[in-house]
Amino acid sequence: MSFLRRNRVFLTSAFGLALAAILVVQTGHTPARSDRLGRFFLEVMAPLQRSVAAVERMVSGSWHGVADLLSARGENVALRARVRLLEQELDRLAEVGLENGRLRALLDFRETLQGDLLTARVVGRDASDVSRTLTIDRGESDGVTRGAAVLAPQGVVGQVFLVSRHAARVLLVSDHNSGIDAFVQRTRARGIVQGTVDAGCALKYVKRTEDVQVGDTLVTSGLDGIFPKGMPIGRVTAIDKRGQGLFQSADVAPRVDFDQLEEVLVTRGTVVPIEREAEAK
Amino acid sequence: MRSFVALAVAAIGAMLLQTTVFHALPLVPIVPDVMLVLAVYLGIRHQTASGAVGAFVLGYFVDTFSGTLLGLNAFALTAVYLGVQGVARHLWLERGLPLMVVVFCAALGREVAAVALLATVAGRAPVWHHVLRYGLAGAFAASLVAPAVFAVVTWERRQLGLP
Repeated sequence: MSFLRRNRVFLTSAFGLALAAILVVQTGHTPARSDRLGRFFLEVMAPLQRSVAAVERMVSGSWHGVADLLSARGENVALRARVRLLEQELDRLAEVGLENGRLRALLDFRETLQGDLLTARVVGRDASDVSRTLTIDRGESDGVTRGAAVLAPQGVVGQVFLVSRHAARVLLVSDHNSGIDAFVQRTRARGIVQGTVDAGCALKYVKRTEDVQVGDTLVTSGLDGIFPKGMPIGRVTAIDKRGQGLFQSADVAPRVDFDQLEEVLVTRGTVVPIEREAEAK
Repeated sequence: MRSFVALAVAAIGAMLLQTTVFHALPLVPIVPDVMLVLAVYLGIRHQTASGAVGAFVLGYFVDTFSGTLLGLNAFALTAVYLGVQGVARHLWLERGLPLMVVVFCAALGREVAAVALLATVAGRAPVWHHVLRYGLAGAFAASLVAPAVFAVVTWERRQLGLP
């Protein structure tokens, strides 16, 4: 009994370490998760993240207005107030204009796809530098499910792997756990686009005999049943044919700038490009 | 109960900083790991079984917002807690340079623990070059913010009437 009391910190920590290792092994086989505590944490944090993200947008939008106001000390009070109001309005309009542009691009992109798509806002980024994930403000109550594809007008963003009632987390294509079946658009050579720890991507498992060149665009094959066929993923930046294996690999620069991403589209059910539909008919 | 509330509020604040605020700051190239500093705080100030549980829950909380593997950060932060509380029993680490040094070492230890677990238990590809590239910078960033985090948590506990 005294042994337990004397070593309770060590024993509790050892139990925690063992439990964590078991959790890692259990969740290591699939990127999809359904732990209740995780869903609870996500649900609690989502409104807070949404609020902080809104404040962040507001602050960045009015920052230039504040800087200009500080430089206008010499002018009279009425004029300064007037200038401040006008500049705030201008900044607000500029922000609205930029947002309009992004949403219009999203809408145009949405019209090229046949199926049920949902617009979502990015409200959080990954808490560490090792992984590449996003948090979006849509969850089960909006019809988002695990495994749903997440797209942007520029191309593929990633895949939903954890959903709570009002939020979800997205595994980006650049995460080292991600893998997407892809074609080289020019030659239809097939391979797998995987994320790397350096926030880039790599094209792997392409036969050595296939024609792949720097500058080639990679698109989704649609064979995984998750992403619509023909969605751009990225561009080949370097090719590696070293070694004697059957395959060659290539470095890929993702089409989407994940750091600048503010709105995305989430698929609900099967989505196909409209041009393909028309061809089929 | 009040200790739990203090830790929960600090953890939520730290997570908001790590997932939204730090990412929006243009002059912050590396996101400081505030959750790690909280685990170090527990190791220095709470050398009890509940401190170990707190470190595990902190890690689990991080797992919800980082990567896909559940338990990776829970393992790493519990390991950090265990190491720090062992050192803190013999050395004074409450503030200043000793605190920054222990946080720097804890950050490196955390990366090593996570990579070791990935490589051995989960059978994933090792990410050693990531540790070399980001680990040192991340550890430096965490050690820089550690005194401020300790001051904020101490202030928060005082507001809640805790020693």
